[in-house]
Amino acid sequence: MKQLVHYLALVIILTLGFLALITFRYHPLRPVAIILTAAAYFVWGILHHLSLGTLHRQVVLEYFSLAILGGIIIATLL
Amino acid sequence: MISAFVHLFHPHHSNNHRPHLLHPQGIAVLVAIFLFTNSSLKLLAQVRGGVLGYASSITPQSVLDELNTKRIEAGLKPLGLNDRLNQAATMKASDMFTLNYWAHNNPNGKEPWDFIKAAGYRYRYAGENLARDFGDTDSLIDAWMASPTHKDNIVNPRYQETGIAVVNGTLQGIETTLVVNLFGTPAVSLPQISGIQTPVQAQEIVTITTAAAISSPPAISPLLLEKVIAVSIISLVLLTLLWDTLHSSKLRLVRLVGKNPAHILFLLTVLLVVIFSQAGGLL
Repeated sequence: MKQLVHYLALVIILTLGFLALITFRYHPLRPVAIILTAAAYFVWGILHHLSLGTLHRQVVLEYFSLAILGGIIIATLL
Repeated sequence: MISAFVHLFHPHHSNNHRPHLLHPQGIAVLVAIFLFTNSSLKLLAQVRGGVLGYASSITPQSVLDELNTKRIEAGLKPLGLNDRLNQAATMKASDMFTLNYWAHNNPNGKEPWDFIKAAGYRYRYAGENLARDFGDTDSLIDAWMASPTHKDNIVNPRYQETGIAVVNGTLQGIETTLVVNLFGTPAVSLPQISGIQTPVQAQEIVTITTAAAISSPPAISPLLLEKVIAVSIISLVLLTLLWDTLHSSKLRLVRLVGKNPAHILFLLTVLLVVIFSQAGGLL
């Protein structure tokens, strides 16, 4: 049940992020939308693993590197 | 060599039961590859102008029609096409290609208003929208309308006239279609009662060949190449994540790693944004 709530929150975060990125494609707020979406994913990962008691340096780095990869790709192409 | 390659994608005790590609170091390498290939593309465009390019179906008339549609939707009068503003827009586009810059002011400090004055247009209000690398008029106008500063020019009740230049040429090494859209209100305002006026025809698309001459038709769109690289990298990570998920669940591996379903959801979102991203730059 806890996992379901966490994943539901993630789906909402990513959906809002997607909508913000598409809406602000040509808006000065575009970099903010990119940073917020990538940061929200990273924070979700930290909180999720913290609540499960599985937070480890390698896990933090994994979420961080994926958030950077996604953020850079979007920033380059959008 | 083969073993190292397999361990990039396959969970094994030698890679701590997690494909090397999914380790933070592996993802960092992918970031570096993406940045390097994109920089190389830009460098290639600078060194060998004309290799990369965009194909466009934009015409001045279609831009004018869509601009006026947006104005009418906003409850404003349509803009009239002014020959002097058309000339000013063409001069500005020509100057951008000749001096190879992408900005409102040229490298010598010349401002948009200087082109308008040089064309003999005396204005009370004036504005400029620029765009490049758009494939069609719809996406160009959508982009302008999505940008608050460009939209302000399009649906500005103070403007009465416009001038549009759609010019093909090589800008900063990339063959492109440049759109210069000038807005103006004459110093002596146009009479509100309609009189007999000579209709001004929208100009044809102009092609400017600069020092970096166009040697062959544009073969590859740089945006498409960037998209292909991005989609390839994301797909590679997604497939590795799926394979890792299948393998680890089959062997019931217990590992201290990030959650694959979360990573997959995030990368699918990035993939969607990449797919929906459109060509074109605005100024």
